Amino acid sequence: MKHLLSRTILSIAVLALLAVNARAQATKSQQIVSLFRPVVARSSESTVRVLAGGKDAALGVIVSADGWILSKFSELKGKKIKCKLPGGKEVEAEMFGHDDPFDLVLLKVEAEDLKPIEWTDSKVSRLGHWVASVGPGQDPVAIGVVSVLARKVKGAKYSAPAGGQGGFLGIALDQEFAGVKILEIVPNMPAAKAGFKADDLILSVDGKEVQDSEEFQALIGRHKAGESVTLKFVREEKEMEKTVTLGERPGSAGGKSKGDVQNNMGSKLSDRKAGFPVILQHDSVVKPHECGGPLVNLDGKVIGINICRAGRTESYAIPSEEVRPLLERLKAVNTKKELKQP
Amino acid sequence: MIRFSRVRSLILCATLLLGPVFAQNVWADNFKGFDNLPEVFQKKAPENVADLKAIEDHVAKVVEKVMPCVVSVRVGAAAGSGVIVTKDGFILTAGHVSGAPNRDVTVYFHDGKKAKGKTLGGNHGIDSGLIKITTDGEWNCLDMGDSGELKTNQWCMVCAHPGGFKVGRTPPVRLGRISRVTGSTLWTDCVLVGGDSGGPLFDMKGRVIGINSRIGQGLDNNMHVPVNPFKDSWEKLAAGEVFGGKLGGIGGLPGPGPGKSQPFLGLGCDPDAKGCVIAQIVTGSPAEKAGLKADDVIVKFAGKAVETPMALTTLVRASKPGVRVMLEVMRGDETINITVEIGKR
Repeated sequence: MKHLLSRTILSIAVLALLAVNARAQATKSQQIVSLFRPVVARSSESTVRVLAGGKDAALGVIVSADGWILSKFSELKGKKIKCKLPGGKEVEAEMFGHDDPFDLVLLKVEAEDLKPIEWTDSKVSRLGHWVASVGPGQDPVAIGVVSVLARKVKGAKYSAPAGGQGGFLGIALDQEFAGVKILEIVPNMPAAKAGFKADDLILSVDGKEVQDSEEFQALIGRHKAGESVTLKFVREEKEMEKTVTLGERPGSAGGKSKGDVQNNMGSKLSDRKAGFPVILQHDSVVKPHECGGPLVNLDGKVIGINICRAGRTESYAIPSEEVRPLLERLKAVNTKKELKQP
Repeated sequence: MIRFSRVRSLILCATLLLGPVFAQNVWADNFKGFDNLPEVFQKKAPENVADLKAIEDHVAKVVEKVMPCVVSVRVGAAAGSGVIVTKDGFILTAGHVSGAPNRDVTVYFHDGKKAKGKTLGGNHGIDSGLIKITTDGEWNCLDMGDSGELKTNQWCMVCAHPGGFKVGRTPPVRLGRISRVTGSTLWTDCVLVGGDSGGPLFDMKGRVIGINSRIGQGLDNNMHVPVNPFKDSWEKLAAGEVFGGKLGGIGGLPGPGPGKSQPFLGLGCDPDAKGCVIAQIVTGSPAEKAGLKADDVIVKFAGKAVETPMALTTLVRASKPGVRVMLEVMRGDETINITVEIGKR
């Protein structure tokens, strides 16, 4: 014991030496965040706080001088909306058109001489370039870098989730196969119990045809553990059908998968965080109630609208080039009328 | 330059016995000008927008350099990440990704191309692992840096595959800085999550300085295996040897999902030190609330001597959330008693 203790003291000395070099400063510390003040100055004048049912629910972007404001739909749905305009004035807002897949909504307030945002295509930013999430104040609400350039998300056909965590099949799919092919079966899991085998080629889920693995996963994800799905598939050139009851994801705590647990470590995530057809991914920590605001590059150009906090490592923005064409369409829609997808 | 002949080569033979092949690779030669980093990287912190601009211009170049060498690896049903460090296709990864030797690996590149591989050895004590591409070809590869020279606040970058390989998504870039360095662990604020395991941590010259390993609760609590131990034990790793015992610490990536009422203290010990020397305190944890600090040495837990981090973990696991425990702690030369209430995750 004594021996151990002396060695312990030695290692303290070593650690103390290590500690002599500079104190760690977080990359997103206030000191660095405040360097972005000139970067967000212009766009912050076009950013409003949006309240739903009296609570801070989202940010919004002024798109025209006469009071059109873009924001995040799912945080505002069904509630009484107010906007805090630059200068601090709180005004009631009316909800106009919304787009379900992009989760954007156009609000109208009675105002004039507002300062509209100026858009830039997201492609001006490269991977690793700084981005600042603009709020109504002088500091950005978050900073980070571009993690993934604007991309189409395959199979992101949004429909309201069934709620809760999707059930578990226990298969690995061949990502390279142009279709849905089982690469591997996890032993003792639902798919194995139902008699599925590697190389089975899945054609449909409950009669709905599936083209690729993302479409397949989206359909399975709508079912909870305990629910059954019928899969049509091809094995050795024969078409077959089997019904399988989905199970709990192994290692899940209270219905949460390991990935969910880790993704929730350290920050709060948005309720709606998937199904957007095109996204730009960045590593800023955007709070769920601070989505709906502009994302700018170091030149202060608006490259997108923050749409969600998606996981521990990621926030998503809808790129400007996807937002702009939507605006006219959303303006044309009257209150309470659903927008039909083309 | 890369050939994707889909010939499945017979399992690794003589080449592995040759040991380290760290010759300067052709790929890195394409990126001159990395020897002298922009001035901003010598500063303690950026001071203005011009400094930020200098950082982003350089980071974009680093991303371009490293991206072709970052891979997603699928071993069995688990997905992790890795980085190619020799042109014959050795991939550094985490020990908990490679697992046992000689397992089949599917290697995915950033553009969706893929190759076959096999797992080799691992030091499970520090979570280092090695994989070799078995598909014929010459591969883009990156140099390994010297993790012994790393400093607190040095800029660094992660580029790996959180959540596994996703069609149409290049490996997400995360920029951060080093917050703590020990011989067996690096801490950074480059945020990690499951699937990033085994992926590379880069310095601003695009050299591999660490491999993603595990996380704690806070977003600043991301842990990487330094690259030097890979180089130091290269022959053992390449020979498929598994050594180093079991990894202690706060929780692997992917690790066992914490149960709802698992007893929780919220600290990480320095695996290099003898005894339980606290290296990291989880923000908001019982350990933090009780006033425990980095560099404290936990000597006794409820009167029982704790000589290793594993012994401490075992005692915490055996306790219950809500229980108050007296810790005997050495802080500097002083021995103090600290009462901590065991929490739950």
